[in-house]
Amino acid sequence: MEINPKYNFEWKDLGNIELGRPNLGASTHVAVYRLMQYTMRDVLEKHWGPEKTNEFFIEAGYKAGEEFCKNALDGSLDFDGFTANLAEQLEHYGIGVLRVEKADLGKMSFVLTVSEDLDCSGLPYSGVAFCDYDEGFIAGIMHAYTSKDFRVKEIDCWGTGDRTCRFSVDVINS
Amino acid sequence: MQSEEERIVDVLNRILLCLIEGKREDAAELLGLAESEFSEREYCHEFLSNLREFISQYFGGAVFLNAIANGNLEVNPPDDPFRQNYVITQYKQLHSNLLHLTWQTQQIARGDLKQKVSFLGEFSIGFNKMIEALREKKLMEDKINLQNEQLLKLNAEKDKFFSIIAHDLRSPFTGFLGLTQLMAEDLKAMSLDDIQGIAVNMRDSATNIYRLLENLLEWSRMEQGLIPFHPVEIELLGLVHESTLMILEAARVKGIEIQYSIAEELQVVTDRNILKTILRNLLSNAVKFTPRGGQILITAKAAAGNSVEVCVRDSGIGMNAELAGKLFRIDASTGREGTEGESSTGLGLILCKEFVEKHGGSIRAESEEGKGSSFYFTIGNQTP
Repeated sequence: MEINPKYNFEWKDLGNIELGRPNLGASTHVAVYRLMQYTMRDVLEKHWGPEKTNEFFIEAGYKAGEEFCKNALDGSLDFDGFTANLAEQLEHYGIGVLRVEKADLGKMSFVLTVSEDLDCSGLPYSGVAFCDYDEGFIAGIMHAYTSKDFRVKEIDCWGTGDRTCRFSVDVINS
Repeated sequence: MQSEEERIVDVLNRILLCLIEGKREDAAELLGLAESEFSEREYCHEFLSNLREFISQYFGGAVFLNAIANGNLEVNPPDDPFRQNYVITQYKQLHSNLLHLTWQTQQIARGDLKQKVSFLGEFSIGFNKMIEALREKKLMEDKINLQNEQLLKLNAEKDKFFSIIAHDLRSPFTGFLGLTQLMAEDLKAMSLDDIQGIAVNMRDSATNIYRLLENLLEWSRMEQGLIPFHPVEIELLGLVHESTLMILEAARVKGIEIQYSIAEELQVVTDRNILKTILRNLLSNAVKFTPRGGQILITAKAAAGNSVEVCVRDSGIGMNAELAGKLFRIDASTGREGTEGESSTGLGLILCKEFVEKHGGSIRAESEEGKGSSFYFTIGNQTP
């Protein structure tokens, strides 16, 4: 099937929210975000199956992470400064509360947790980790910051009965 | 366990109690079934299956829990991502918090005082107060270090000042006093030519003393912030010409040729007296360090950032890289005699640097031993 994409997302496509929503402002209810994400997942899974859908979410998250890093974060900071900046911005945008559990800068290997996660915190137990989009998002941020590819894997998730999302983040050595 | 899980365990217990007491109907009702739909055998089978699962989870998590209880955070939770383990869920949260706290403590130990702990209420308050105290201490230390640096600089300046007073000012005075003593003792025996020679020497000594005093005074006033800065549009060529008049006689005596290459319309915007001081010092040095028959060339051209670059080039004795590197440093001694024993303290160049930089410009020197020196400085050409 020949695909001719007409759209290529850029940060500016988010538009001038202040201008467009002078009364309602920049925030919305988390339920609305999840409504869109999970209905989208529902439709995509029906058309493409769960595995392909996960790939779509990871890819979309990756693109979002790259754009987020380029436009909302200060990539010139050292790792400590960058982590603090990232945590601050994730909180500012209501994405989640980032914490670093382990950081091995030599091996470029990290364990991060995101509490009060926008995508999954509070979801009922299903035995399934839902944060594919977050996996891509973190990988995209790390790529934009370091110019290296990272493997991000969600280890714990609300969907699998845990109370915080935990991600292992490891550089992919070429 | 969460409240939902606690409710399920409670229901299971109550069903078991009903069965022990022979109340099948009540047990079925607790499961939302009619008595006819309820099978004791099936229920007991399921109950035991769940109990086995719980025991399995308990023992599976026991190693993890014991390790945390013993302070070993390196332990990993049982690796079974798709099965909910009721026993350890909350301890995984505690484990995660403790790992993050450990990382934060390591960061703080490395000097990252931006960390803020949010864990265990009172503990966080105390910990964050400790970080705040460390941050204040660090700020205080930075402030003290900065003040120390400033004091060292001031001390170096003071040393330079006293060194000039003690040595450089004393030398020409000694010469001057020697000449006056010679005249006082032997005047009657001197010819008119001898007296004229001594008078010329006395004039040169007095000129040197005067210039040195002028620089000292200006430097002292600048350090106290007393030098006024009144920028005006100045036609550069005219001011350069005016400045060369002050060194014309010294250049004539040594047979040094002075040339300009400056466009007539080239203008700068700066304080007239400050620019004259800079030029006076650079030109005076050029004459001192250029041997008889040499040349001095003054050029100027527009440069980047709305500025003009002026260059004073001489065909003099030049200097080695070591000396060139110390030229504008107050803490380094660069004074040396000119080609005919003219005195020089190095203060003039320090003064030039201070003046140029305080008004947004820069100054640099290029030199090679035996091949002369070029001094470049920039000055604005637009009203600030």
